[in-house]
Amino acid sequence: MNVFFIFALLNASKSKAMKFGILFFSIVLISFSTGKKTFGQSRPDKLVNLCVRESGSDAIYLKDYVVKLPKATRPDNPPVARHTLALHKNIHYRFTICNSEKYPGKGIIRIYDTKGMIASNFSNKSGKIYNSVDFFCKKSGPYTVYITFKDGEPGMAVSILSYVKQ
Amino acid sequence: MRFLLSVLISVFIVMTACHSSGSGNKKKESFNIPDSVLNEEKPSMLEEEVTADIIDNLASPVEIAGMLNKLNVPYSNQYLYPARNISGFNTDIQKAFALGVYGADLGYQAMYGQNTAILDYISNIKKLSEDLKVGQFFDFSTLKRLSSNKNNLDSLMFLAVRSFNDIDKYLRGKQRGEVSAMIISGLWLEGMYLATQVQKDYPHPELKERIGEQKIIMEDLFTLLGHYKNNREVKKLNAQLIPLKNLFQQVSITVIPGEPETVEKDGRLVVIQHEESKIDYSEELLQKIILKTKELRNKIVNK
Repeated sequence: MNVFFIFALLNASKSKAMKFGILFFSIVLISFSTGKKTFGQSRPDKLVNLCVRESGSDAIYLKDYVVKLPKATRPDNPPVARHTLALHKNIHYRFTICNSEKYPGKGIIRIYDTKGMIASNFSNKSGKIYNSVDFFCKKSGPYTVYITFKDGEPGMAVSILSYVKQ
Repeated sequence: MRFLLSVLISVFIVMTACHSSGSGNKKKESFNIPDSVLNEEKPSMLEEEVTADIIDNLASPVEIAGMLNKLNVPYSNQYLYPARNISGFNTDIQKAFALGVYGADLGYQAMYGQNTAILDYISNIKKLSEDLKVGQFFDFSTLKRLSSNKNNLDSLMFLAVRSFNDIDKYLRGKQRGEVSAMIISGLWLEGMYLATQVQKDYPHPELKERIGEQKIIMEDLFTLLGHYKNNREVKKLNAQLIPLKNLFQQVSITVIPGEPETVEKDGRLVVIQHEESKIDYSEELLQKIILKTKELRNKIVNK
């Protein structure tokens, strides 16, 4: 619709200066609308870099997961991001999560093996959400990481999987 | 006047095109994972996306190199694929495999803080990735700068691993998944080669176990390669790996049950898994695996 509007304006304008002005601002507008994606990409990058630092100087980056979820439409069915990965015996892993300040959601990581949940950064006992959870793996195999946001709030977060040096 | 009007209208369009996030109702709600999501995935039935996630992590050179370092195995450049051998890779598939191999060797050197030859490997990775049209994912000037200082190798590793992860996502998004699969295969086989050669020279039960666990990984690798079996070279690699896979069939993997233990330490939650996998196989089988891995790795990279 914007493109047709721009053409209509160009057609309606009589002077060369006005046509130039419309064209110039159209280019600026188009740059903003396509640049939005670029800005969107650079924000996760900044959050990834921040989260890598948050993981600690004893941790080596393995993988990052960028998660952006909308508000839950039903309390019993919050949006969930899911990733499957292989973890190996005798490796000390760390899952760190960093939330974007632009969204209210606080990220919760849950790690499942084939039987059920084995680790989370959320403590049921205290109700506290930790920034990270360390996992001393003793069973090699596939694991699934679920990321949701507390109370089904909309959120954006980065989770970093790290190898912790020993 | 008309000019000003068109500017105002343009600004209005921009502002209305921007999103605004609603605050929403802040209501205490349950946030358990719904059964429909939990039941949906079965790790034994691997879709391509799930497989790619698994493979993505299992082929990371960081963990193998980290384990070798932890076991106090001395560094040796004898294990590395020579940096000078880059010219013989002609097709995209061959280059992708080589990229994986050099990536694994880069991780090995970085983990040991060995920066003397690392620049050659970075150069090779640059050349191969540019040939594969994924060079934009590597910040080579930064990698070069970081490689000059032993204290920067963790940062170098972060950049390199992240770049490989980004390349994988990009290739899969561009319907070039077979190239990504070959990079992963190269990473995996070189990691296996490093582990088996070290085991030959410095036997350790933990490393023997890690080698045996590759039985699980090989299943996933074959599933991944199977998706691209229409590619002649991928099909050829698949066929070449079958004898090694057959050896791994004799490895026994059992699980000793146990419950996870969660503690808080230094302000962080720590979970210790007590359920344990147990890997059993004979020394004779291990020697066969070591020999077969060496044979395959040398045959594939030397063509």
